[in-house]
Amino acid sequence: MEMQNYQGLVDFLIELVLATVFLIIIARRFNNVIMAVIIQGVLLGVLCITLGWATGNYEMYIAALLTLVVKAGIIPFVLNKAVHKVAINRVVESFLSLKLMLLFAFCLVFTSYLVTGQVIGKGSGLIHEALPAAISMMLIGLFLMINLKFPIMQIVGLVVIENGIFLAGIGTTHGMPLVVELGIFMDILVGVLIMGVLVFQINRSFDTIDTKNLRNLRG
Amino acid sequence: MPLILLALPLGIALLSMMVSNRRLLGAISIVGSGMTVLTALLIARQVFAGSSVVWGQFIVIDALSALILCLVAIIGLMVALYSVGYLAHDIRIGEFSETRVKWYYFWMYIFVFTMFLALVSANLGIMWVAVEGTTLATALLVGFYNKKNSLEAAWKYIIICTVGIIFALFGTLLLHYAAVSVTGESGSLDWQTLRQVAERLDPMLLKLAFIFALVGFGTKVGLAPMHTWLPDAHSQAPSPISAMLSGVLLNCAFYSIVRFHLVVSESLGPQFSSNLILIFGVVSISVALPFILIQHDIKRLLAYSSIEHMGIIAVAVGFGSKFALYGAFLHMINHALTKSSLFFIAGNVSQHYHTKRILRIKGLLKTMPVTGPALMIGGLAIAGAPPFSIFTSEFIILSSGFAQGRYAVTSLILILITLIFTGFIYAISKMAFGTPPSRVKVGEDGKFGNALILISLVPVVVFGVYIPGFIEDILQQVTTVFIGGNQ
Repeated sequence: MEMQNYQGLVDFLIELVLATVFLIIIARRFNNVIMAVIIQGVLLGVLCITLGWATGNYEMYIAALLTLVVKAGIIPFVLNKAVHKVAINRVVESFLSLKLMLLFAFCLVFTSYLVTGQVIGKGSGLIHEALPAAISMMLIGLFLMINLKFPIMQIVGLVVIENGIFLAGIGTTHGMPLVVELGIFMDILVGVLIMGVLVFQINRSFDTIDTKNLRNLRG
Repeated sequence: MPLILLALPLGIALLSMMVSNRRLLGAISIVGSGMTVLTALLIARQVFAGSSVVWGQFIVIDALSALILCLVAIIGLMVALYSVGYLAHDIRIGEFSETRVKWYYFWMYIFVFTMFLALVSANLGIMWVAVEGTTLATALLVGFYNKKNSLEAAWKYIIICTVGIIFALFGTLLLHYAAVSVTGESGSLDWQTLRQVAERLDPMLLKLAFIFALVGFGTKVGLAPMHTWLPDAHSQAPSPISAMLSGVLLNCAFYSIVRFHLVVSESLGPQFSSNLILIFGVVSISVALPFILIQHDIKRLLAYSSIEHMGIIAVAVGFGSKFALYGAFLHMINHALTKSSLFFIAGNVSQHYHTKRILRIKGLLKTMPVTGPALMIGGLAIAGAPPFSIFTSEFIILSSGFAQGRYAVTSLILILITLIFTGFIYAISKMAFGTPPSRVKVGEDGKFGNALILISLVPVVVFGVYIPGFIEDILQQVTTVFIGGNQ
């Protein structure tokens, strides 16, 4: 396998993907968040193409195409539309301050590198960098979901988590079988669309979109 | 045959999109569901005659899937029948406009389709896709009333379940990673292949995969502490949809856990995964208890009772003996039938009283001559009073626990179930007795829905005293799936 020749490039791409997650954390305006989501999608697509080139696995090209269309195209488009329809000031609000968020995110990355090495074994999978980076993305995605106040940011968090799992998939095993991969793409796409519809409806009935209003149902 | 089963609900969903007449939609849905039940029963007959149904690489139906398949189809038919009257009433009082009825049917049959897909697929990855599909299909149904509370419930539902189930995707990925070097790309997620090669898979990865899958699919089952979406979604959805969520969706999600459990226990021995399932089961029953005792909303009461019963099924699968498994799947049948008819009853009651608050519902026995007694029967049955079916299956499960010598756990569950019983009966009797408020008129709203409720309560009463031979046989075959009878 010629994988070795491309190892450096692939690792670099994965680190860039991880960096885009930090872009999402530091972004204060929705436009920048969506831009970071697009960059993340494009980088994942490029990563797929590189892996396809390196391993000669044609399924990678299909995955790349889908990633570019769905994750760098349709999902950001839907998010953008939702933001323009419902957000009034278009500024991201969070419960923690930016410094604390960054500190927390760094800790999450550190933990996942440490833990993956110990639990699954260092250097497992095709690309050593992929699994810890993917787990960092999942954790940070979860963190974004609970920390940011706006429902659209919860959708962004979900997309980040899913991108993390996708990265783990292509990085460790060339991705799941193609049918499954197609199904996952469809689920994510339909999921984001339905969440977008719900955001519209919530905005219409509450006149606002802040999740702190969604606290009626208890007990 | 399995293809027809998948094509039917999909076809009905697409057909519903094109029709806007409410009566025609109802007719399409009833006829279609009837055909689905027939197909499911034909498949089940073939499976229980001893040969699993296989189609190509992607579809395998064994005894376990066939059992739940039939439950989905039968309860689907009952829901289709009940929906007609329920929707007509809601349109009459102006809850939503007639033009939205087709969306109701569209999403409902997409929902049925995704459940079928989860049950018949031979590939754990496609199973994941289908289970996530059930969330997406039902999210807009939960928010169907477009009110503040229902939208809140829908948002919580889609976010919590999607996040939860994304962990199951990671679990599936880990399983794929563990298996791909052994089985190659094509068979890496095929559960039949996986069970055969289970010994050669990396146990550490399998453990991780199972934990992620349990948490992920457990969210959909409503196992505590991932259950928080369940009471909201079940109480805010239209009652027929609640019946479907509670009666069959939870079972489908549980089925997914069982598939992982079967693969993992083949490799690690039964202890690891059974104990985890058992712990989640016990926690679920205990979490449900306080909420049942202080509950103020009839549909939330039923929802927490679903958490309790899924907990009981989980405990029984955790016990894992043949006897306990027999009880587990008998309990699954009983719970599905009883709970769906109870949600129909709750639908009747809340439409008649225009409220879901238990305190404001009084004197049901006087005002609703059919629904009132039905609520008494269903309530006693779901609480686990003899001589109803749920008592039988709970008795089997608990006695198998004692037979295994797990005295502490089993006694704990016994105490919890007893307390839940008292809480449930208290709530039910508050609604059934007393003097009805003067604003409520005496009499039933629709005859059709009532007949349906009575019909669905028949097996609840019958299975308590006598379990027919064919059910006995079916359950025996389902338990052999666990022992490794890969017929």
